[in-house]
Amino acid sequence: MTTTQTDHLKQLDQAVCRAIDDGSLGTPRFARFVAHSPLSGLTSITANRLAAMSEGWFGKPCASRSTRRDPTGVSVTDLLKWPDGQGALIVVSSTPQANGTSIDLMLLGSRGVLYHEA
Amino acid sequence: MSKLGVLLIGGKRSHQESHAAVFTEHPRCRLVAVADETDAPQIRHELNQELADDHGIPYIRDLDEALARPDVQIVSMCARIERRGVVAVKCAEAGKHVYLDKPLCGSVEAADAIVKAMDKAGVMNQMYCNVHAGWVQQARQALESGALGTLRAIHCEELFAKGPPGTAPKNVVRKEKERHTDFTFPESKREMFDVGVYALTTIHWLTGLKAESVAALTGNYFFAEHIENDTEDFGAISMQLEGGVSASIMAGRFGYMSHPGGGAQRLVLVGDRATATFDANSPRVEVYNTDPSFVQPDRDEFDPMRMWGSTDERVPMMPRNRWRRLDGGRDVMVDDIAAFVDCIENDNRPLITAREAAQPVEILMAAFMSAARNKEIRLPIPRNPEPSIRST
Repeated sequence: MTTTQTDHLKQLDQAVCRAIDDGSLGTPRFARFVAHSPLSGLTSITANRLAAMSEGWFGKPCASRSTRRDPTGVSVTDLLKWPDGQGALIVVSSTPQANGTSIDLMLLGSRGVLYHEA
Repeated sequence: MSKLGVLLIGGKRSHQESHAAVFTEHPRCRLVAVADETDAPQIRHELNQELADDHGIPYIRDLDEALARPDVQIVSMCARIERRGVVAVKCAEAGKHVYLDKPLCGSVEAADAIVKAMDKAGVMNQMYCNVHAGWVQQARQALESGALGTLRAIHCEELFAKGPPGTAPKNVVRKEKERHTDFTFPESKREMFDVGVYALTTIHWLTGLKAESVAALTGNYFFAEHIENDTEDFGAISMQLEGGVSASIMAGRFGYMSHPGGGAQRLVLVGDRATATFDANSPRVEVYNTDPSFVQPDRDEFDPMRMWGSTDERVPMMPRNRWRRLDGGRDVMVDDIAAFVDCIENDNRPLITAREAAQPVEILMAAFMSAARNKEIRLPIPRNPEPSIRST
C-alpha cells in the first residue's frame, strides 16, 4: 500500500468507528470491501489490512477465513466469519479500476448501512 | 396470427402478480386461466382465485385439467417452491413452453428432474433473472470486448431495501441447517436463496463457468421475522470457479432505509488488464428538492417485508425518488418476458433455461451446507436417491 492509501484507510477507520460508536448503524454485522492494490504482490497485504479493520469494528478477531488467491496474483477474495455471527467479504484487485476507485466499502449494521467509495 | 395462451400457476402473494401483469400487456399473449394443484393449501387457492378475479379469467383447481387445455401454449410457473420439482415437470410433459419463476426449485434433485423433463419434452423454457438488465448487458459487452483482459475474479451483490430493520436481537447467531424443505412463509423468505439466485445466475451467464467449491455464511442480522421463521435475511458466498476464477456474492434484504434507491445491485469484474464496476444505480441523476424524503412505512402485518406488489396497492409507500436511474427504472421483467416470447416465435434458445438455472440451485444448496458445517463444500453435491426429494 502507498502512504496515501495508508492515510486514507486510517481516516476511514476512524470515521467508521465514530459511526459505530454513535449508534448510527445499530450493531455492525457485515463488511464488504472492493479494493484496489496498485501492485500485484500487495493484494494480500491490503486484504489483511482490511480484515484487521473489520476485526476492530466487530470487537474481536475473526474465527475463520476462506481465501481465494488468483494464481496470477491479480486478485484475492476473502470470506471471514466471526464467532458472534458477523462476517466480511474482501475483494482486492491489482488491476486499475476503470472509474479510479481505490476502495469501496459497505458496512451493514442491524439498522443502517455505511457506504464509502473513494 | 392468434395470440399465445398463457396459463398462470400461482396467484396473489407470489411472483405471479408481476408475471401476470407483464404477460397481460404483451401484444402477442393473452391470459387463459389461473391454476394450481388440487391439494394446494386452502389459503393458496383463495389467493389464486383473487388473481384470477383481478384479470377476469377462470381459476382451475386441477392442474392436469388446466395443462390439457389446447388453448394454453405458455405456462407462467410460480408454484410454491416446495412443489416446483413436480409442477415444472408436469408442465414440460404437457408440452407447454414454461416461463419459470426464480429460483428454479429448492433442491438439486428437483433441478435435475426439471432439466431432464424440459430436455426430453423439447419445450422452450426460461427462468426469470436479471441478465436482460442494462447494467448486466454492459458487463457482458465489457468482457467480450477484451478491455478487461482475462477474467480473474467476479463479485455480484443484490440487496433489497425493504422491510423494517433493527428488530433482530443483538445476540442472535444464526445456526444454519444443511438442507431446507420449507421455503414459504407469510412474513419472510430465505433471502440468500431468493435474492442470491439473481447474483449467481448473473455470474454464471457472464462467465459460463461452473463452480467447483463453495464457502458461505448466512446471517440473521436485521429482522425478527426471519428469526421467527428460521430463515436467513442475509448471505455471502465465495466460490472457486473453473479455470481458477474466484467469484463472490452478497445477497439479502437489509431494510427500507439502508439504501437511497430500491437496493444495491452491483457487479465487479476483475480482469488481468483492468477492473470494472457495473451498477444498476450508476450512472444516475440525483434530485434534492422540497418534496419530503422517503420515510419507512408502518409495519404491515400481512406483508412486513413488502414482498408482493399487491401490498403496495393496498398500502401505498412513499416514492424513493432522490436517485433516478437513467433508464427510468425500466422493469427488467418486461424485457425478460419479451425475450422469452421472441424465443418461442423464432425458435431461439433462451439465455437462461432450466439447465443454466440449475447451477445456482446447486451453489445455493452447497452454500447452506457450507454455512451449517463451517467448511468448504465441493461440487457437485451428493444427490439423495429418495424419489420424494425431487418435489422440492
